[in-house]
Amino acid sequence: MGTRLASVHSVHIYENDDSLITRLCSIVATSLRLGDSTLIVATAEHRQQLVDALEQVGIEAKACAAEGRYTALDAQELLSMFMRDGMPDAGLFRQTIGAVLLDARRRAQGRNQGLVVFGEMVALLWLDGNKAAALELEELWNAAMRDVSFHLHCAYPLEGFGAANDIASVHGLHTHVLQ
Amino acid sequence: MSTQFPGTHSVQIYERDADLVTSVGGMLASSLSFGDSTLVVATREHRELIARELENLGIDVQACAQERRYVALDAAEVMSSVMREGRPERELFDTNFGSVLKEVRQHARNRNRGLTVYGECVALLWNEGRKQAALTLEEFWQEVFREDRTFHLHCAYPSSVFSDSSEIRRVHDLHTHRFHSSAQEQSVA
Repeated sequence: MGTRLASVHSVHIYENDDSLITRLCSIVATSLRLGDSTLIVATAEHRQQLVDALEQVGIEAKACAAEGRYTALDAQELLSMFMRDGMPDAGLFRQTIGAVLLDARRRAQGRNQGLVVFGEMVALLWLDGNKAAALELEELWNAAMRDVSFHLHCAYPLEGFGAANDIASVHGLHTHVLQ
Repeated sequence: MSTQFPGTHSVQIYERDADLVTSVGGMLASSLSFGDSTLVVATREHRELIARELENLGIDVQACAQERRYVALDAAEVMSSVMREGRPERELFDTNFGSVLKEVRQHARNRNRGLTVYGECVALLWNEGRKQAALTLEEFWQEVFREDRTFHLHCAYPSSVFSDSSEIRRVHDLHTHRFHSSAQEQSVA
């Protein structure tokens, strides 16, 4: 059982990087302070911005990384490990992500081994115009959360959305929409 | 149910107000972002500092207060409402505080009716030397958590109120999680 009794799959559609990082930092900092593990799958720029923001609130990502509770991976690199012919391959996704998730959770200090994952791979696919792959990947995450309890937080830049029904389709795949 | 940390009764022992406000502000900002309700029971000074920190983190505190999912109460007033003859009384606790909890969580904006509570009553009691009363109040909370593992309660004590490490251990033992202000603290804990 995770610190969370039920998996949370939240989404934040953000207007600018400041807003993204401020929200993300509050989530990640609180989890790290409670002894949970965090897995960040993001662009290099956002990974660096998050480390800086965490430092400003008194969290040294490096020290948490040394404990194995803060793992940061490149979103594009991780995507390339399970994308085939423009779509995510379910088997490769499970193989790639499954081991990473279990390892990250094992390192949590809290007695319930809580885990927060921030993922930007879906946003990269969406910005590339590959919306079908992004939505399929969200479904694969939902399936992963049925096996391992964790909190997955996703974020998409607002600029990637042209129509309100696009936003509704993304919201519909999540349990919580950040305000 | 708290979106992020249901069934969590965490404690933070802090040295500086700035550390407390940064970490509690982040925790509440996160909860409010998810649409949870939050109840802050703190000194006036801390309530003001926390509200300012939330604004800095992009939370519209006034809007959340209007939605009644951000409620801030005075710790001394709440404390006196659950005490009789200098001791916390379970019946008063249930009647006077239980109803507030129920009311606040009704205004959460998400489907799980998330609730995070930050409380300083126990710290006030401890600071006044009424340690047994503080421990009794923590025990009440433990009992509440045995029946209702849906919300997150966070307590904080200034480190200056403890005379030795055995007192800190006693307080830690009454909580499910220890909350660390920084990574350094965590590695020496």
